[in-house]
Amino acid sequence: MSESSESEQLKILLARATEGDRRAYGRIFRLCYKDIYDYVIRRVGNHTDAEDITMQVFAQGLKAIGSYEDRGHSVKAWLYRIAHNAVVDHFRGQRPSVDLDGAAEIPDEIDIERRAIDREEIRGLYGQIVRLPTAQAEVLMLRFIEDRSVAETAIILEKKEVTVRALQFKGIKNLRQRLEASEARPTAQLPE
Amino acid sequence: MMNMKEKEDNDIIEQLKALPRYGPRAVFRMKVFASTLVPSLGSALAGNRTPGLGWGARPAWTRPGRMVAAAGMALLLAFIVFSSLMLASGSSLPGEALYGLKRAREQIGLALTWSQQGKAEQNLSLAAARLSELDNLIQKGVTDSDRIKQLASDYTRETAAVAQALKQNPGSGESQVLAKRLQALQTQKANMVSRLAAASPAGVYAESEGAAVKVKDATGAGPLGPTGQVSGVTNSEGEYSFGVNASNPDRLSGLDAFIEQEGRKEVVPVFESVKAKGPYAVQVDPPARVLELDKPTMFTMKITRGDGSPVAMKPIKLIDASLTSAVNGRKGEALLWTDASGACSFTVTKTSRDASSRFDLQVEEAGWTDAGEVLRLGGLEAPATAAASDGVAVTSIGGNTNPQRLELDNGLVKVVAEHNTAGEIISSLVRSTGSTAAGPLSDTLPVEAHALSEHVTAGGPTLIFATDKAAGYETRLEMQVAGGSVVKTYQVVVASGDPYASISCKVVVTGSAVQLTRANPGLLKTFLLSTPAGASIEVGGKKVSPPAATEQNLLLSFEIGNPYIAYSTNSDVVFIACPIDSETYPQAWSLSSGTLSPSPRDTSALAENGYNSMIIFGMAERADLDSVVSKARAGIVDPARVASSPGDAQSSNGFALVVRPGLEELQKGSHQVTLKIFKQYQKVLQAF
Repeated sequence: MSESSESEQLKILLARATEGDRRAYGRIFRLCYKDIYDYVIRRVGNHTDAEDITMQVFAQGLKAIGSYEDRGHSVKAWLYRIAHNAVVDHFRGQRPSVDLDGAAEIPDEIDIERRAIDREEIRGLYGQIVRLPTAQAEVLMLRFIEDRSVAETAIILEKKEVTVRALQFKGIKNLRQRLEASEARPTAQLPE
Repeated sequence: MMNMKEKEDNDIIEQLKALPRYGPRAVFRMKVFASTLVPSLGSALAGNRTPGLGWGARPAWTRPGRMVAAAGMALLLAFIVFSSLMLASGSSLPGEALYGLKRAREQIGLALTWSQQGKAEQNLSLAAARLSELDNLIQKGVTDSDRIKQLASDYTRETAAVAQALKQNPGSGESQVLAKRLQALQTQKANMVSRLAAASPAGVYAESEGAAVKVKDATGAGPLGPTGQVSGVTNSEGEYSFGVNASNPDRLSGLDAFIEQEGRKEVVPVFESVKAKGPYAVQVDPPARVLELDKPTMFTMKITRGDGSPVAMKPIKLIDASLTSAVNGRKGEALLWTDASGACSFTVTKTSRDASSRFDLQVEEAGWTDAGEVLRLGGLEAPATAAASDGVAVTSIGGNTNPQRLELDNGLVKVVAEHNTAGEIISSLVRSTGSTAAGPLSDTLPVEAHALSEHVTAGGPTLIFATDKAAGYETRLEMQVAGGSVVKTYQVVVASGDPYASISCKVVVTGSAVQLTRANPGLLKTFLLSTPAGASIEVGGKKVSPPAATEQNLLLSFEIGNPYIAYSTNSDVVFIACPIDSETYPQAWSLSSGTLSPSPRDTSALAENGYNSMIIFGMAERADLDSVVSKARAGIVDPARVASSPGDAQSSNGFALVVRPGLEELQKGSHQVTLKIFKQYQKVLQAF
């Protein structure tokens, strides 16, 4: 199914879901969960947590769908946002001492790297993204891996669009430098 | 010039975009599927974890109420297994493991429906399901005629139930809708029957009632009495019996049966068993069969001696004393050589159905040694119309660039287009069997077009390509307005071996015409196919009212052969995938959530999204029409793709013969032989 027709379908389902049709919400989730899952697993680094969080997104979405307000963004972006918050909460639950408001902004390279242990590819390009400061990594993942627009990414991360653009610019720049550095080392593996 | 860094950045972005995605694990996918079907269950499963309260780190099983959770989990697992079985059973066919479950589920659905109208609708859905199963089974070449018969009788029962319901409650609006849907289904069935009769792929047999049978003794050995032949007609079981004098069973091996019905004429040896004699063991592959006349068929033969050693590098002779075949092009007697392994290959062409061919083998070992009969072949003359010809014949009257008349004919379907000014796309579409004809198919100009546009021109038919595999032509309808235009282009493609003609439509709206079409939706209306009045159309689970109350609805674009229908309301264009083809056009069809008739051909995308009855491409603003259309249709008009659709070149249109008793029984003194003759499809289809 093409992206645009899928989003149209989601719109129709959303109208029903906001009126309390739980099955319509179920369908929405079925259409979206693979993308959500992809984002979450890239953030948390293992299937078990990613599955847990994805189900949590489902449940929280179900609770909140009644009060969903259409602000011109896709329902998928809305789910991404719930997912993003759930991921932040997840890390918060792990490390309660961190300043909660600033959690997403704190570059926690070691933490993400540790969580990525059971992944099959911690190398090359992807290996470098997870080493970026979290905020930059989030933006790059949403923008280019999950294919979200700047506006949507801003909504999901609750940031201004200019901030998203700036983080994207910094992220790419950072990534380029890191890749250049790793290319300079003969042992580094290039992305496949 | 782009600077170096920018280029590298773009490269990085491209690489990011190309990173592989993480697919959820299978068990998790099932969990999501089950949970989202019953959202409260999914919610319970995910827990009521409130963000920020921080119990997330605590192991799940230390939570209070874990017994409840465990019980819930067990229920969920049972539900997951059950629902995934249910889901999987949806597309199962008779004879498959989950088919019983599917039928049981249907019965439950029927039992839980109380209203008569609801029951009748379900009966109709079930009839459609049976028809689709039947079609699928036959496409798969299922030879088990009991299953086919059962489905046909189930179909008849369901449609009879619908008809009964209509009788009891005639006249109501709902009944009228139902009646039209029933009619559409019956039409679909009738077309399927004629399509199968025309294509007749090998595999499904039915008793051949009323076939003319003549049994002749080719050798003059006398088992049939002084006349040397008997004849008659098969009964309702497809059987014909005759007496023989079996005092010397060897004489029976010369019997040939001549069978004739509905233009198919076949000669077949009554007894197939052949025995090589002398010091040789001979293996022929394929073994005895019936060959279509004048179609060379390849055989291989391997000859070994009694001690197992191959008869290597020896000259051999194959002799058909009846002179009704040719081996490697030679009638009567052909000389061949075996290779080092004692094998040789040859082609046999059955040239006459005056008798079956019995091939005797001679081996050159210390003179020509008789090795006995090694192969028996029958012959078949199939009706010319049933055979698919190769390629597409293009007949153009008045030149290829702008002909007055074009004919595309692939031996299965013939499409004729004539130049016209009325927006006609196809003048006629005829099945080569002659039983199904349709047309004209036209995109009649709406009144608004003439009122609003400066010039309306109709162009074509124009031949756009013609290869040995496929050919296509185009018609164009242009409406010029000040500063813009609406151009509709129709492409019609006929491919070799494909009984469907494929038609696609492209609408391009430019300049000021965009505004104009918004203000006057009628401009884009295409009165091609009619939706039954009051038919219900569901899009994305939401009912959409047909835009007009009359028969003439707004079908904007469509495919014949494989695809979608688009129909427009005032502001949106609704795309609904649905095959319309030369099989279903132009008779009535219906769209509804329960039974989409004809049913969508591609259901692979359905399960994923949870729709059961149709493929929905979604709704689009009129301005987006072009891109949505082209996306939805990507690849569909590719001639190579059309040409690769399965044909029926391998079909054999013969009869199958079961002889009772066998030769061994006859040797024990039986004197009555019964031939049970099967033909392909006909009986099963007539049962409809």
